[in-house]
Formats: sequence, C-alpha cells, structure tokens
Amino acid sequence: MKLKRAWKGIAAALGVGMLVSAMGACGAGGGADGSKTTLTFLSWNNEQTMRPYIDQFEQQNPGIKVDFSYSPPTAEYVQTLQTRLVGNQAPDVFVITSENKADLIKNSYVRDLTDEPFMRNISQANKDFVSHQGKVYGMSVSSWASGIVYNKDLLAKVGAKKVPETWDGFLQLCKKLKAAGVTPFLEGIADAPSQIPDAFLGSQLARDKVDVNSLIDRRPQQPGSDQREAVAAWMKLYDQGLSTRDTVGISGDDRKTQFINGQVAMICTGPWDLPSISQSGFKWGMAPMPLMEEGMPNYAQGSPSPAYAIYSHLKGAKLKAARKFLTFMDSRWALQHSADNGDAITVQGFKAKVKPEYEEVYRTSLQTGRYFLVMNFYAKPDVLTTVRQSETQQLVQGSINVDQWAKAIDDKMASVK
Amino acid sequence: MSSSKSSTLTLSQRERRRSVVRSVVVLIIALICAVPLWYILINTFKTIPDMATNPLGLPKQWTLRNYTRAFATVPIVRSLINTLIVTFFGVLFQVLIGALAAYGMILRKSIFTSVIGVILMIAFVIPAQSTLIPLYRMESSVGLVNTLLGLIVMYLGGAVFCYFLIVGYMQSLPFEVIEAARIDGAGPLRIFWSIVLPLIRPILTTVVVFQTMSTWNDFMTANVFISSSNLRTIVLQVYNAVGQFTTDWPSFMTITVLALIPVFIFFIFCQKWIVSGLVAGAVKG
Amino acid sequence: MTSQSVAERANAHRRRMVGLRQDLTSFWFLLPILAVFVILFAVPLVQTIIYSVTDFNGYSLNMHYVGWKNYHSVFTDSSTMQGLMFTILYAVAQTVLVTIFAIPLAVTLNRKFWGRNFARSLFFFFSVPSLAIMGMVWKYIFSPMKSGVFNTILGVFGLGPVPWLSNSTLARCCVIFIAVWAQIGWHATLYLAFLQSIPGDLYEQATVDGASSRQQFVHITLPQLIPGIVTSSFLLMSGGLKVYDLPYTMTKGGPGYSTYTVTQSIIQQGIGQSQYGLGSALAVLFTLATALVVFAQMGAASLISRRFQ
Repeated sequence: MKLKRAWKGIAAALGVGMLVSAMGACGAGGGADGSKTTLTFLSWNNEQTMRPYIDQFEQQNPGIKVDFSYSPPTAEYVQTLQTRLVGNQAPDVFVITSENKADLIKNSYVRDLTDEPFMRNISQANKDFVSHQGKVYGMSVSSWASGIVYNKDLLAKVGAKKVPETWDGFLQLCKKLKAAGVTPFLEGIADAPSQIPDAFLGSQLARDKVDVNSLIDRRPQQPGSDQREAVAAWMKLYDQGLSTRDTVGISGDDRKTQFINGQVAMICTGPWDLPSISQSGFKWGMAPMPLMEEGMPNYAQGSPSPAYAIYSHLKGAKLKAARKFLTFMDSRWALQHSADNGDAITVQGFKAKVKPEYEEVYRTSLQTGRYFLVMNFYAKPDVLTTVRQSETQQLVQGSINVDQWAKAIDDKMASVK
Repeated sequence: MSSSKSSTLTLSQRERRRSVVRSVVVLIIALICAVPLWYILINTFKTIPDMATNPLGLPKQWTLRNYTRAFATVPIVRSLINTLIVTFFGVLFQVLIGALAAYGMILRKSIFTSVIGVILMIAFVIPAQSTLIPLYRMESSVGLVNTLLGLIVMYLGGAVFCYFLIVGYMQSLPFEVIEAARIDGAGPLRIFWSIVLPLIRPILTTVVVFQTMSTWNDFMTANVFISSSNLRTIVLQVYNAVGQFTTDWPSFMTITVLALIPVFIFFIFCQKWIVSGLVAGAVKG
Repeated sequence: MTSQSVAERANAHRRRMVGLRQDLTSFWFLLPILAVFVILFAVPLVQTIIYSVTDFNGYSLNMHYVGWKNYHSVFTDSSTMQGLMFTILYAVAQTVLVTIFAIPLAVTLNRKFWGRNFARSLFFFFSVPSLAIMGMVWKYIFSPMKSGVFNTILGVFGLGPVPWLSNSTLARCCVIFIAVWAQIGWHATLYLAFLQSIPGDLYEQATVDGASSRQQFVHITLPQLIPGIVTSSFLLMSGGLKVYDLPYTMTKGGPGYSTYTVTQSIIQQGIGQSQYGLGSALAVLFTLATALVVFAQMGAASLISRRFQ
C-alpha cells in the first residue's frame, strides 16, 4: 500500500515537473519563428571567436538562424558531444577531431562529405585527417605545426645566430648555453607529451618510405616500438643533463611564461603561443624542428585543425542549411578572417599570410604537408594519448627506461581492442 | 604559556589579551592562506605579459581592459540572471526537501525510517560522472534537456546532502520542545514551520550557503545539459577563455571574479544569520 | 476482568493506530526525498549496472550483453589499481587532516576577537572558487621552477628549489594539502553550527567548577561535537573517495600515475576511450567499495557516539 502511494506520489511529482517544464520550455524558447531554419552548432571555439562568422553567415542567409553552443576543448567537448548524440540531442553541425573521429565515423554519426562541392579545394592532408576507407567526414581548412621558438638575445650570448638544423647540433648549442649560465631549453610535459618525438617519427617514417596512412591498419598496433628510436634520441636532452627533469611538473603555460620572462633560451611550441610571445618585448624567432639525423627529411609536429562535420541524420531544410554553413566556412571571407586570426590556411588556391616569424615553419612544413602527430595515425588515439603521457613522465623522471616505456605502451594498446 | 604572569592579571584583562593574540594569529594565518585568492583578483587588472612577468605583485599599470572586454564580449548580465534563477530555485527546493526529510526521519524512529536512512546514503557513494549519460537520456526523453528547469531538477540531487547535514544536527536538539508542542495539539506541519525550522537555523544557514556556492559554481552538469547560448550560466562563460592549446588567464580570472562577487555578497549577508544562531542556541539552553 | 482486557486491547489498538498514523506522517515528509532519490540516483544506478554487462561504447545504443567480461577487465588494468591506491590515500588523509584542523579553527572562530567575521568569511571563501581555477593557481604556486611562489620564498632563505609537482611523493602531498586548504574553512563553518547547539550553561558550570579551557574542550566541546564529527568525516570520506577535479586540474594524474584517481579512470575509460560498459563496471564496483568503507565508518562512529552518550 505504501509502495502504491509512493508511486502515486512520484507520478504526481513528475506530472508537476512536466507542467513546470513546459513553462520552462516556453521561457527558454529560442525564438523559433516558423519561417526560419534553425541550425544548431556545437563548437569548441568560444563564442567570441565564432560570433563574427555566424553574424556574417546569418547576414548572407537571412532564412537561417544559427543556435551556437560551445564546450571547452578537449575532454569536456568530447564528453558533451557524446552525451548529446546518445541522448538524441545531436547538434546539426559540430567539430570532429583526432580524439573522437573514430567513434563518430564508426557509429555513423557524421555525414559522408566526399562528393560535396565545398570539399573540392580542401587539401589532401586535411582530408586524410578525417577519412575512413576513402570517404571524408569533415572539412578542415587549416593546419598547425610547431617549431623551436628562440630568444635571439640569449642565443647571442654564446654567439649563436639561429637554431642548428640537426638534433646533435641543437644539443651542442644547449650545452654551450648551459655553460654560459642560461637555461637552454624547457618543455612542459605535465599536461601534454613532448612535441619532439612526433616530429622525429614523422621524419623517420618518411625516410623509410612508410605510408603514414597505413599505420592505423597495422596489427598489432605498436606505437611504442615504432617511436622507440625517436624517443631515445629525444631523451638525450635529459640523459646529458641539458634539461631539468622537473619538466614533468611544468605545464605548457609555465613553459611559455618562462620564455616570455627571458628565463629560457628556447622552447618548442606552435602558433597559438606566438601572439603573447610577440608582446614580450625582446627579439625572438621561430625555427623548424631540428632533424633527428643529418640528411633526414624535415618534419614538424603538427596536424590539420579540427574539422566541421554534419550530423548524419539531417534531412531537408536543415541539411541544406548545414551545407550552406560549411560552404560559407570555406568561402574567401571566412578563410581570410581565419587567416587574420593567425590560422595557417591550407586550402588550395588560397594565398594565406602568416606571422613573419611563423613563415619559415609554414613554408617548410605546412605547405609541403610534412607534419606528423602520433595520435592522428594510430588506432585508439585517446588510449594512446593517456598512456603515452603517463609513461613519458615516468621515463623523464628516470623510473623506467626507453624499452620499458615502449613495452608499457604496446601492452596497453594490446589490452584494448 | 606565561601562567605565572597572567595569574596576576584580572580575568577580563586576560581575556582581552587572549583576544588580541587570537586576532593576530588567526588573521595572519587567514591572510597567508588567502594568497591564491589574491592571485586571482590582482591578475584581473593586468595585461597578459604583465601577469607573466609579475604574477603576484601589484600591476605595473592598472588596467580595467579585462573587465570592459568581458562585459563587451560576454553576455554577463544574462548569464547572471540564468544562474540566479537556477541557484535560487535549486537551493530552495534542495533545502526544503532535505529539511522535510530530516524532520520526517526524527519524527518517528522505526525500521522503515532507518532503512530509508541507509538507502539514502547510497546517493553519496555513486560517482556522479558515471550517471551523466543515463540522466541526460532521462531528461532528454521528457524534454527537459537544455531548459533551466531541467538544470534545477538535476540540482535537486543536492537535497540528499542537505538532508544528511540537517538530520545530523537535529539529533543534538531537545525533543521535549517538539513533544510539548505535540501534546498542545499542534499538527506536524505546524511544528515543522514554527518550532523545528527556527531551532535548526544555524545548520540551515550553513547548508544554504554551501549549496548556493556549489550550485552557483557547477560546471559539469551545466556544460552537458545546457546547449543554447542564451541559457548559459555564468560559470560556463568563465570557460569561454579556455582554448585547445592555450588559455587566456586574465579573462578567465576576470569572469571568475565577476561570477564570485554575488556569492561573496551573499555570504557576507548570511554571516549575520550564522552569528545570530548563537542567540538561538542560548535561548534553547 | 474481561472489561480490563478489552480496555487493554483498545489501548494497544489505539497505540498501534497512533504508531501507524505517525508512520504515515513521517512517510509524507520523506516522500519528496524518496522521489529525488529514485529519479536522480536509483534509476541511473540501475542503468549503470545494465551498461556494465554490455559492450556499450557510449555512442551507439546498439549494445550487446557481454556478461562479466567488463568486471574481469577492471581487475587486469594496472593503472586503475594505482588510481585506487592514491584515491584511498587521498580520502583518508583529507578526512583526518581536515578534522584535526577544522575543530580547533571552529572553536577559535567561535570565540570573540577583533576581525572575527572577516576571518570566518575568508576561511570559508577558500572553498568557494571552483577547483578547476584553484588547481591552476596552486599549480603556479607549487611550480617546481625556481620562479614558483614557494620556491621563491624558500630561495630568500637560501633553500634550493623543491621539485613540488615533479616528484611523485611531493605531488601527492601537494594535492592533499590543497584539498585540506580548500575544505577546512567550510568544515569549520559546519562545526561552528554544531558548536552553537552546545548549551552555554555547560561551560558556565565548568568554569565555576574551575575547569581549564583545555579540560572544557576535551570534556564538553569534543563529546558534544560528535554528531558534527560524524557528519563532517562522512562527507570528507565519501567526497574524498569520489575526488576528480582537483588532481585532474593540478596534475592530470601525474607525474606518471602518482595522483591518478579511480574516477579519472572511470572517465578516461568510459568516455575518453569509448568503453562505457567497462567504465560502468568500474563505477559499480567502486560504488560498492565506497559504500562498504563509508558504512563501516558510520558504524564505528555510531558506536563511539553511543559510548559518549
């Protein structure tokens, strides 16, 4: 009897809840006047960044209203998108990237864009980034690559004008700087693994003429063993005492701050840090990544930028609107606006200008497609990222060696199918 | 410590001296502990390079640009109103449901109530992250997702927390008062309103303040359940400054400060109530 | 004789009826919270249990029953076990430390002194900003670089830079320290509320009897605070076992796995690595384990409080 009453009570409570919810929905009603198509768009760029595009788009397409939402990258974004997809609240247009592309494609949440007219001028590397079995599922219009940012004044203390082209030369320079009492080079591996092994592995694969897009089909997946050589080379930095092992407790932001304060001669970073470095007030430059060994092709750690995807179940007016939106994001106006924001546009037939310091990296890496990011080319990038980060920290701490590092990663990859 | 010397002082003098020592010691500890809060506040008046070179000191040149930019680019007022709505109704219902339950629990001790007491404890041990998808799907199926009401419903889970704190406090209350009222013929609801609620005011204030704070600050639930930009809460706006590789810390902290000011005012306001609880305790004794 | 037994029976009957009526009133007061519990906790928990025996990936609802496979995998994952170690350490340490420091703090804040309200507000306010931003600020303060705040202060005294966040043991200590810092004020506020329910005449009597303030603390304050200690330590323990934000924003679980937590493992496997079934299995096991610990703690607490009453 009590139970029955309880259920009645719950039902009543639910009823009241629904009633109020209807009111709430009214209050929340996002101005859905019948004539307009509302396009929901989940981005991981914030509103401040995206608002100009949306305003311009809505102005060009008066029949469409964009309902913008945002979730910060990366973990929160992936979780938000996932929850909305599985909860039947899928956004019409959203961001697809390394961390979620495999799941989105495998569970057919993203529309096949291969034959869409707006994909015609997208460059191959950007297409490959979000492709599966020859079909392209996202539109990515720009890419990034990292390089060595250096403080010209500090380098001048040991008579160096630029960053050496090879890793050995780089280590030599570090030695000289250290002898002169300057902190030569600093990484921040508390929140992300080092960029250098990625560049080394890209270069190594190119030397060995391995098609990087075939890596994902290799069985078993052994990213640990594959990176062994590159990581061993990178670790010379620590083994020779040229960098403090405290980098396991230093974040990317810390590292940048140290550089801006003139406390370190060189850091490895990408275009996102350049605006604040520009404000620092000393002379600086950015050089391409050193070569692992002389004669190897130059590669940068880099990746296509996250791509725009269309929800696979869209139909009719909404689908049309989504297509228009992607077409717009690939239009001259939008590309120019992105370029002005500092993105390196890689769309064919679009002449982009980048920051003068970034120019060399842009030319040697991005325009030639010579950039590599480990997590873009292996299966289960999310597992790989986490295990690689933890194991790399232990490696730098000195509690494991490179072979143990490689084995731990390969074992972990073998344990998830 | 210097007992021989203090023994020559009168009681009130000793008390006064102790009070001064307490002031000095407590305030020094409090101020040292407050350094991180200072860090947040002071950096909102700096530019990015200024913050990088001089994170703890006063700004080389005071700037309000972070604030003007925040107001210009982020719909702060709108977000504050949204947050105010969800926090007010969320906390009101949480505390009400929790207090009712605590009262129901001490009203009658039986096997039935103690079983419920144990069952409710389960709510404390479920990791919230694991129930997010089931909850989202549930709200989605009744159309509550992406509404402020849906968010309020999610926050009602805090009622179990309120219940737990209040029932713990009620156990230290004198039951004679309630018994006397019952003999006088007062109904249970009347006893609740006019006797129990005033008696538990200190804990109610504590619970209200704490729940206000955690509801106001919630990021995880709001981030998943709210998608329209006009429904965003203020904490979601704080994360507008977070990027893929780099975060604009001065704006991040500026919006954090703006988001915290209302909670701060609220707390100062509630301080009086907590203090006045002292009086209630004295009367009761 | 018969009339007496009839009266007795009527009496018993009336008592039963009164009992029933009281049951019913207490039930009505409990109804809202039961509704909240069923909808927001019980149903999702059942869902989680269902997911835990499937291959649900978090994306496609087309899932299959896989039996105990996920539960088996939980025990073979070494990072989860390391996470369990730190989680337990964290929960126990914060429970003990916060309790030890919050009670004297509350007692002090309950006395009269100049600037009391300011101090109360300040201590309480440490727990107000979200841990995401506080983690960032503390990361800077505990930076292992020479320029970190603590290292700068140590440098003044000629002490070398301490590798706060880059040494595994120190990193664990730092995370626990911040947890204590953030929660001490709020738990002191909680104790403050409980202190106010202690009748003032107990102290007056004791003062008349010539009890020192330490004796008063041990013989009056502490025993009277036991309901408060039970409440506070329960919250600390259950909250500590479920910790996620703080270690994640401070160290992302590093260096290595030294500050890795079970909840981080649930999130990483369930959402990050799209093995929602596995994440759910871990969540179910963890819920059970936490329940066990917390109920044991409650049992012990009620034994202790009975001894004092």
